[in-house]
Amino acid sequence: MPKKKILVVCGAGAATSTVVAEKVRVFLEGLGIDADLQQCKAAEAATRSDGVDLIVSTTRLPADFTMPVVHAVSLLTGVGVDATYRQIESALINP
Amino acid sequence: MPMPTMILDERLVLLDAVQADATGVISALADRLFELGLVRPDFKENVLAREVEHPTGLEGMYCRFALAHTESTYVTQSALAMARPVLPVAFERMDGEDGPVLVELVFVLALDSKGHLEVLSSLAQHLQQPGYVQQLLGATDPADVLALLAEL
Repeated sequence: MPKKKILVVCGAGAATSTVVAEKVRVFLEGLGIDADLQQCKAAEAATRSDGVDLIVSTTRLPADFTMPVVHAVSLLTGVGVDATYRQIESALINP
Repeated sequence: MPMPTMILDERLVLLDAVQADATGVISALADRLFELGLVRPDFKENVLAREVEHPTGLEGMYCRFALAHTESTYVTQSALAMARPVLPVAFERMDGEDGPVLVELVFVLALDSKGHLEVLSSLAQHLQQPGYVQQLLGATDPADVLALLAEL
């Protein structure tokens, strides 16, 4: 599988997305999926999404995207975290 | 793992907070952070503005909480402040879902550099543990809350 490019988005693109990106990184490592994770703020998501395979976001996004978007507040709360990981996995394995 | 330069202080713990809305609770904590010299004068207005633009209300498994924060440029020294309102306070949800979440634990994080993001991560992790949440919700003394926050 070629290296996957993932954009991790939160409101300001600094704090929350760092926490979420780290969790996604560890999860993908466990699956043996090679990924390049980048972070940005919600307002930049549209312009940063070129060539991105998957967007993982903790916040509502202002635009429609051609690639899958997984909402990942669960990675902060623990509620529904398995479902979120399954969505991330299937978005990367069966795009 | 406790951060050596992460300030925890009893004056940053408000149990039985009486402020009735998110702005009031965040302001009270931000004022304390400023009084202790941990944040710049404009920290409060920035954390409030950020909460409006990017809300932090979250519904966890064992409690509903908010993790208000803002950029490190407004922070002099990393610190964590917490309020437990007498009555749950409405925060908008981080994921933008409709309807506010009635928050039982309000955290204001003053993070001075990226390294301290571990605190945010650790806090979210601890708030997924029922025993930890129960102790925070039931604590009667700020010192007990500090001991719990020192575990982060």
